[in-house]
Amino acid sequence: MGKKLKSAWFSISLFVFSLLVLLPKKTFAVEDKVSVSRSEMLDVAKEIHPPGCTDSMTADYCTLITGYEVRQEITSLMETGMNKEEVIDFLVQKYGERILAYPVPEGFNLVVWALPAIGIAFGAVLIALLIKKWKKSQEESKQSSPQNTVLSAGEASNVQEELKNWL
Amino acid sequence: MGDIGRLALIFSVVIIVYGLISHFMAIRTKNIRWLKSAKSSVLVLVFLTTLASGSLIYLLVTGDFRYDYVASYASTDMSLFYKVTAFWGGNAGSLLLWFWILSIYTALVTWSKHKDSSQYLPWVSAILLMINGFFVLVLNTIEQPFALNPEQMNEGDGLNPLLQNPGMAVHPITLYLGYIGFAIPFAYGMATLLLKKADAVWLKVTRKWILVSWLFLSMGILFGSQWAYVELGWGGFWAWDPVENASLLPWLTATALLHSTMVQERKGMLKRWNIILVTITFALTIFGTFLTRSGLLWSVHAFANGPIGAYFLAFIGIILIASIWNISSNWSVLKSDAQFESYISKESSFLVNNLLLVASAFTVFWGTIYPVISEAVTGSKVMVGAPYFNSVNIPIFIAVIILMGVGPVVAWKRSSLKTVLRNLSYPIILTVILSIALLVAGVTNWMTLLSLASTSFVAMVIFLEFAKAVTARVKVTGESTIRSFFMLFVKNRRRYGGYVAHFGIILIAIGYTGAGAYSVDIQSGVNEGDAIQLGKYSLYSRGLTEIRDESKQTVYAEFLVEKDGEEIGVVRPEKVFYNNGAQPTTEVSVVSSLQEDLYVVLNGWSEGEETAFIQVKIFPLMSWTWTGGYILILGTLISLWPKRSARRRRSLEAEPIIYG
Repeated sequence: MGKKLKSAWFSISLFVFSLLVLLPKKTFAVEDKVSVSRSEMLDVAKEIHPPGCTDSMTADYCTLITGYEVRQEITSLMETGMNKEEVIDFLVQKYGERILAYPVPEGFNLVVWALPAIGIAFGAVLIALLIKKWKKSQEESKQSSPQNTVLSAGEASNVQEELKNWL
Repeated sequence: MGDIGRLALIFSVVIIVYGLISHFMAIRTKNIRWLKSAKSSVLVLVFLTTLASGSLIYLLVTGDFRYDYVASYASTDMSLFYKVTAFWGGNAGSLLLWFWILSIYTALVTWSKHKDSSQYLPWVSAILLMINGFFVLVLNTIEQPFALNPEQMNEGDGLNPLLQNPGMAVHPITLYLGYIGFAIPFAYGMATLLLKKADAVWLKVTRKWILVSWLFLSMGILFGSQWAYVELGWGGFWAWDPVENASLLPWLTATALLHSTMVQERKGMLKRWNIILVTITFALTIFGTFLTRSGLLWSVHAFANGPIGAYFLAFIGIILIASIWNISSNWSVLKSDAQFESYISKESSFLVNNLLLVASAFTVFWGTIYPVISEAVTGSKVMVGAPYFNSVNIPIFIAVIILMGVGPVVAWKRSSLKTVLRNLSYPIILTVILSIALLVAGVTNWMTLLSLASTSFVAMVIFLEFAKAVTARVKVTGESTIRSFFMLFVKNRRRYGGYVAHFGIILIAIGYTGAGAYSVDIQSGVNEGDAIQLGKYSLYSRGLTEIRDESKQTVYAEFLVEKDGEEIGVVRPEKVFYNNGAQPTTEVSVVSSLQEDLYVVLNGWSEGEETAFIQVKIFPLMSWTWTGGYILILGTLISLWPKRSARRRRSLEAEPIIYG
C-alpha cells in the first residue's frame, strides 16, 4: 500500500517538476517574452480558484496539480505582456466565472457585495436615530424634574467604588 | 463495553425525560423534593454520558473492531494518544464528546448557587436538558457510536493522518468547550424571560460562562490556525474556509456580547439587544456544527455527510422559533432602565463596536452561505473566497481596532469630542508621525498602512492607560512602579485584563498584516549540494532521506540554513506516508524569530530521489500572531480570575492593626 502510494507520489512529483521547470522553457520560449516575477504572478493567482481545489482555496497556495497548472498559465499569459486585469478576463473567458475566487459584482451577485455595506449604513443610521430619540426624551425628563446637584448616599458610594477600581 | 455504552445512551433518553418532568414539576409545585430529584437526575445523566464516553475510549484503545466506529477511526499501529483522540475523530464520537461536555456543564450549572438561583436554576436546567435531549436523540438514531461493524475485521482504517498532530488533538476539544459553553448564557437568557425578570442577574451570573466559552473558542481558533500553518503545508493559517468561518461567527457575536453586557450591567440598557445577541451566538454555534456535518459546503474540515444536516437544521429552526416567541412575548419586560444621553459616551462606543462586530459576523455568514443561495437563485454556484472576505472584512476589522483605541478614553454617560481628542492627542500625533515614516519607508498599500497605523495607535493608548494608572497609584500609595503595575490587575482585573486581551489582538493584527502583505516565496528543484537563496537566507541541500516504522514511511529533505552568512541550524521538511492514508501529509519546517518565519515545505521529489522540489517562504512578523493569541488568552484569564473574597480582604485590611 505504502509502496504504491510512494510511486504514485513520485509520478505526480515528476509531472509537477516538468511543469515547473521544463515546460516553460520549451513551450513558451519566445524572443520578446516579458519578465514576470513570482510575486506578480501570485498577485493574480490570489484572485483565482483553480478547478478541483477545495472551495476556499485560491491559486496562490493550492497544492493540487491544478494549482500548479493555473499558476503556470498565469505566468505564461503575463509573459506575453498581459496585465492583471487582462489575465483575469482571459481566464474568465476560457473557463467561465467559476474560475474566479469571488463573485463578480454584477446582476444577482451584486447582492453579496452590497448587503454588508447596506447593513452597516442602516445600522449606523439606526444607532444615530435611536441615540437622538433617547437623548431627547432624557432632556425632556430632566426638564420636567428638578435638578438635584447633591449626590445621594448611593451615588456617592458608587463613586467611591469606581475610584477603588481605578486605584 | 460496547453494550454498556449503548445502554448508557438509551438510559440517557429516559433520564433526560425524567429530568425535564421533575424540573417542570418543581417549577409548578415548588416542592423541594421534586427539585432535589430533578437535580439528582442531572448527576445521573453525567454518570451515563461518562460511562458511554469511557466505553467508546476503551473500545478504541483495545482496538475492538467489531464496532464500526472503532474500525473506521482506529488501528492497532496507532499510539495510545491518537487512539484516545480518535474519540472525536469521527462524527458519532465527536457528537458523543459534545453530549458529554454539555451534560457536565448542565450539572455544574444545576448544582451552582447564586442570587435568585432557586428561581433561575429549574428553568435553566430544563432548557439545558432539552438541548441535551437533541444530542441524545441524534446519538441513538442516525449517529450511533456503538453500531456494530457489518464486516469482520482484524484491522481498522485508523485515524485520518492529518488529525495525527498534537495541535489537532487539542483544537477540537477547546473549540467544543467554547461552542457548548454558549448554551448556558442562552439558557439563562431564556429563563430570565420566562421568569419576566428585567434585572441583570442573568448577565452577572453568566458573564464568567460567556468569558470562559469565549476563551475556549479563541483557543480553539488559535490552535486550529497553528495546526493549519504547520500541517497543511500551504503556508497560511486562515483560508476563510466555511468551517473556519463557522468558528469565527459565534466568536464575533460573543465578542460583541462581552462588550454590550457591560452596558446592561452598569446602566440597565441594551437588555433586548443582549438577549438577541446571546440567542444569535448560541444559534451560530449549532450552525457551525451543522456546517461541519451537513456536507452543504465543501471544506477541508468537514466530516462525512449524511441525514444529520437535516436534524441540525431542524434544531436551529426550533431554537430560533422558540427564542423569537419568548423574546417577542416578553418584549416589554426588557425595557431599558436608563437612556443614552450623548452621541459621545462609552455606551455609544460599545454600540458602534457591536454594530461593527455584528456586521462582520453578517458578512462572514452571508459570504459563507452565498454559494448555496446563488445556486438556488441563478442555478450556478459561485465561489466566495478570500478576495471577498478580505476586501469586505479588513476595513471593518480596522474600524474595530481604531475603536479599541478610542473606547477606553471615552467616559460613561457623557463626554465631548474635545475631551476625547485631548485624551488622544499624544497617540494621534505619534500615529501621524509613524504613518509618515512608514510611507517614506515604502509602505504604500493604503490598507497595510492603515492597519499598521491603527494598531500602533491602540498600542499607544493601552500603554498610556497603564502609565496614567500606575503614575496615579504611585502618587497616592507611595508604592514602587512595578508593584503599582501589578496592583492594577489585583484592583481591577476586568479592566486591565481587557487591555491585555486588546494588546493581544493588536499583535495578531500586526502579524497578520506583516505575513499577508510582505511574504515572499520561491519554488525550486534542488539536488544534494545545491543552494536556495531567499532574502537573507541561504539553504544548502543535504539530500533526501527515507525512514520507516510500523505505521508510516517518512521522506525528508535536509538543509543547512544560513542567515546573513551565519549558520543558524538545520531544517527537515517532511512528507509522511501513513499506511492508512490515501495522501501523504506534510510536515513543514519553520525557523521562527521575532522578525520573521522561514517556512520550508517539501513538495515532492524526482523518481531517483535525487531532486527535491522545495518551497521556501518568508513570513514577516508571523510569530507576533501566535504571541498575540497567547497574550489574548492571558488577558482573558486575568479578567476571569476570581476576586479575593470579602472575608480575606477584611482580614488583610485588619492585619496592620493586629500586628501594628
